[in-house]
Amino acid sequence: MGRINFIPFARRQQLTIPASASGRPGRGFTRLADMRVGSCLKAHILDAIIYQTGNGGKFGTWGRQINMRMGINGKPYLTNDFYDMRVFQSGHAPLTSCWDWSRDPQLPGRRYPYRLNPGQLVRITMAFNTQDVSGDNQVVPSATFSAAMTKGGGSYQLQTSQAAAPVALPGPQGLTPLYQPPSLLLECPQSSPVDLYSLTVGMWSATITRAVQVLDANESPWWPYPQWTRIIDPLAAPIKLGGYEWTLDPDETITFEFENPETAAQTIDVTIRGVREVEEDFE
Amino acid sequence: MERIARLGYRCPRWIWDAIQIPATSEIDVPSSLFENNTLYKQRLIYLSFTAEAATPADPPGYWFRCLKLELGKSGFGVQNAVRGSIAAVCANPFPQRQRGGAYNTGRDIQLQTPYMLPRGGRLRVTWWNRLGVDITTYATFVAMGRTISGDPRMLAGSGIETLIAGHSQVMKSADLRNNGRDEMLINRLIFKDFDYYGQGDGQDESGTWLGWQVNPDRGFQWMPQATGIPTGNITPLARSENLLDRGPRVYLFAPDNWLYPDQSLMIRVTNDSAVDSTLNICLHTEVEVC
Repeated sequence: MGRINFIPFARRQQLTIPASASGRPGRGFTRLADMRVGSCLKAHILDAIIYQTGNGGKFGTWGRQINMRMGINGKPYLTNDFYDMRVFQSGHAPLTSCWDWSRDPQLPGRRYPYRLNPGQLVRITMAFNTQDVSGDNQVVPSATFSAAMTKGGGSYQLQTSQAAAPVALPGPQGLTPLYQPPSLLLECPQSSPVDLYSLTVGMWSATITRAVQVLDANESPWWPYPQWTRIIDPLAAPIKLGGYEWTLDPDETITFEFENPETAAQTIDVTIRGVREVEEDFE
Repeated sequence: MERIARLGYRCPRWIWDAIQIPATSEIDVPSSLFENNTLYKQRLIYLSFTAEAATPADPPGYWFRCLKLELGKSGFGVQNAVRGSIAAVCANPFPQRQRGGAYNTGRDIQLQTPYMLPRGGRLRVTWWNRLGVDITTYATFVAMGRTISGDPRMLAGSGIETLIAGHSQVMKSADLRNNGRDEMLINRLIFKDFDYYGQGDGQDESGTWLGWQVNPDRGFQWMPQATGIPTGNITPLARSENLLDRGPRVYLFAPDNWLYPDQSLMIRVTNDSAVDSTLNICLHTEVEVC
């Protein structure tokens, strides 16, 4: 008999909105293919993170105006007009590199844990653009899942770290060279299944490019290649979604349209995060 | 005569005032201010505080450590047995919200019970310039929610004109009307209180530079008073970087705490500092209209 499990996901894309011209603002909208969640029973879109590339970081200032409207593909946009994107950013950016995917922003008390069973493990891969392995700049990759044991109900942490010298690899996306340590393996204890609620990843530094990928018990990635850091360490306060209205069927896709009133083009980064409901064989 | 069952509903309500508290003195807030003068019982949700900038200077140790608070209900005595500073009594459950474009991302408040706006119904949104100088700003309001059938819905409006100091403006926007096929359940209000571009240095930490009045076009009014409520008092759980400790701060009432018709909330504030204070106090309740 199957049970429902909640697998975290993220989808991300960058788009450039052209400058306004002849009194008309530039327009752009998110690509549907990059926002599709894929096969699942339902997808809970819990938040969206939108920021302008090159801004001052999560607590810095934003240089320019960008307006947006949003909706579900195939249905009318939720508003006719475009509104300042920043009004929607009413969530709180975490101070550390931690992603708690399990809480619904609109439904207190509702949780979406990812269940791991005895014998299963989660693999985390990282990459960064420096080979500092000693002294003050030593890079120590680490990851921690906060969890609860289903038998007995006690809290639990899946945690691992290593200081192994990373292996140099050709870097994708212009990051050369790229260094990748061995994967971090986080295994479910034998005594009880565990419900994972949040993930914290270590080794952040302002000068190191971080790339992180999580592979679940079936070796399926939580988000597509390339590896993205900003899923766990977003650069902007999230736009809170969640609730019944942002529980989508597999054939529904969230869509954003932007309007740029500025005289220069803007490149923005759009990420949606949430959990997919899937049916698994474990009870 | 046919009997018709009266359907009840729950409606959010905000009542506020600015209270002048001279230096080293104690003030009892007039009991008529936070009196339940409706026919219905009201569930107490929170009491929020913001402090206006002082002239000529803020006190050492700053506001919410200098202002002491006592709360009570008529007929029931004090709720907190000791006099505590606003800083000590009020919770701060959330970390600092992000600044975007100099401190101006949205501040939101979740309604305890979603409010049903019928088809064709609209929200009337008015905003005030409380800053004291003329401003040009993109003050924006958004109401998030869903339809009865579960689809997301949104109402929104923005003010984009120069607003003279002390003046107010009604937001004109077709997006403030529920023009869909279903009733809409409003569950969250978001206010973007100030915009960097229009004014330059948008450091509205305590959320007192703009005021708001939001009401449905029919039925029980949410904000029945003539003047707008400071942003920070409506959305006290969205805290900013707060260098001078002017808030917003919020006291969350315990669940199932009611104010019955003709009952009032008793509030006493003591100013321990040598500087006069203006304190904005706002009571948020949920009215059981039936």
